[in-house]
Amino acid sequence: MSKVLEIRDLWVAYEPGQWVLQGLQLQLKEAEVLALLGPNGGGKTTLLKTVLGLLRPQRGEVKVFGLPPEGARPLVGYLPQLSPDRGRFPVTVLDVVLMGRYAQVGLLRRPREADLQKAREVLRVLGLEGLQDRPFFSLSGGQRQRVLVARALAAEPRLLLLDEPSTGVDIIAQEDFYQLLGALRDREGLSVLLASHDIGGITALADRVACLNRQLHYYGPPGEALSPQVLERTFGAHMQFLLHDERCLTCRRQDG
Amino acid sequence: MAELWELQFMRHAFVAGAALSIALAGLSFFVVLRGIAFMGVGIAHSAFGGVALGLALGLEPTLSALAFSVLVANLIGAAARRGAFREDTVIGIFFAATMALGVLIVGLSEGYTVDLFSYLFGSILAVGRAEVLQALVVSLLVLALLGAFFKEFLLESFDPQVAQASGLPVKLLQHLLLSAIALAVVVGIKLLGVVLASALLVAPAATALRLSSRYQKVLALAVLLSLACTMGGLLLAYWLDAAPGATIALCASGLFFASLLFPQRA
Repeated sequence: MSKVLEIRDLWVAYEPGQWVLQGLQLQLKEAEVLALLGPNGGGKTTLLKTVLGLLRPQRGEVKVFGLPPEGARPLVGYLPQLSPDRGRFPVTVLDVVLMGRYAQVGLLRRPREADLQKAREVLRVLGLEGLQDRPFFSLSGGQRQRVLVARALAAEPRLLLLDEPSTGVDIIAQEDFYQLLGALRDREGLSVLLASHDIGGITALADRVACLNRQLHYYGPPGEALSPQVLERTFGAHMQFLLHDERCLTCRRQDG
Repeated sequence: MAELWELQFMRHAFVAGAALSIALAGLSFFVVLRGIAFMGVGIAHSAFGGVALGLALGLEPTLSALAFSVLVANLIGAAARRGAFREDTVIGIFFAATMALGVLIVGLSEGYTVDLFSYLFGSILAVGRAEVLQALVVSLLVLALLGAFFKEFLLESFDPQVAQASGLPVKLLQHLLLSAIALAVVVGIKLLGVVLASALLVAPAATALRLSSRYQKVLALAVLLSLACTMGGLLLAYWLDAAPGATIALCASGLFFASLLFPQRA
């Protein structure tokens, strides 16, 4: 499997000497889900922004598909931490998904029929075709999240960066969302780097887990290796947690 | 009606008013969606400083106001980003500072005889051939800019983080939009006045957003409402011998209040 993301000895600071990321060493392969776990302020969003090329590291190297982050942007889809809250912004679901094509369309050009078809296709894959004419602001939190993932997928990325995708989403929608990501990885060969402070559900999906609190406290497969000692070092003492092991993949929700 | 068209100053006011109302309505769409309604007021008042500065330095006042306001609008954008403040905080400071500068210069200049009332509230008589030309050029420029970068402005207004991550020149787009707002507001001052120039920068899109949730319809409605209020307001100002800024602003805000009486259209 080829390397999607390679991070070597990464150091990032907003103020001189105040390191938010300290000597990170990470890899992500094709068709792999890497979950970044850590407390708020632990550097998860900083790492994602560095991978996007929005922040420049002071030291170390980030390669995305073998390229510097800025050069790899067309291959990367991004879902930021806060979903846009612009009140009654007058766009439909299809308009929002079409926004994902804007970089491909280019400046001074209008989206073409092929862009519209791609947007509709992504909506179909995510089971959202019935919502395409609905105003975006009228959707529930879970639906909005799926639409924003559809927008990221409309750009036909090979790597998806998700920052706290479970924020503001109920547990059922969250479970559905993780299943969707798993299906995209298995069917389309999509690689996913997902930041979360939710230790529970994500470990059932992730192929690897990186526990980050400025430094990497753990990097490897989820499950038994994700010991209480590692989590305590990452999140601090006295935290309670619940781990899902592979048995949870077979858990089925009673609908209705 | 026909006899009004024979009056040269009314012809000028109608043509300049129509051009500006379309450009301001287009801008109002983004002003309201980005929550920067206060920007129009801030820029209009900074134009007062620009006019006073122009008079003191012996420059053409409208040109000095244009240059000064475009500069202030861009400084507001840059200062808000640098200081990590919301734009309205920075506008509040620039608004007072530039107006104060204008007041100080006017106070220190001897023989300053510009009709302050028409400047503050607009005047049909102030719209000459040069103002019509200015309004047409600026409106075309603003509409060309909005047309060329509409989808980029839309994405940047909806989700600035994703716009930046997808490689859009976000800072440049912000500065272009602020410059366009400054140009349209300063040219609009002749017709609407400093105090009321921002009326058409907010009310048309705010009203249109009550009536539709599709951006294509919101834009079209904003333009129609803005045009209707400008034409109606000019006629009313002529018949009542009143300042057109007041009649146009009252029409635009009146339609917004009326739209509140009806349920929001989904």
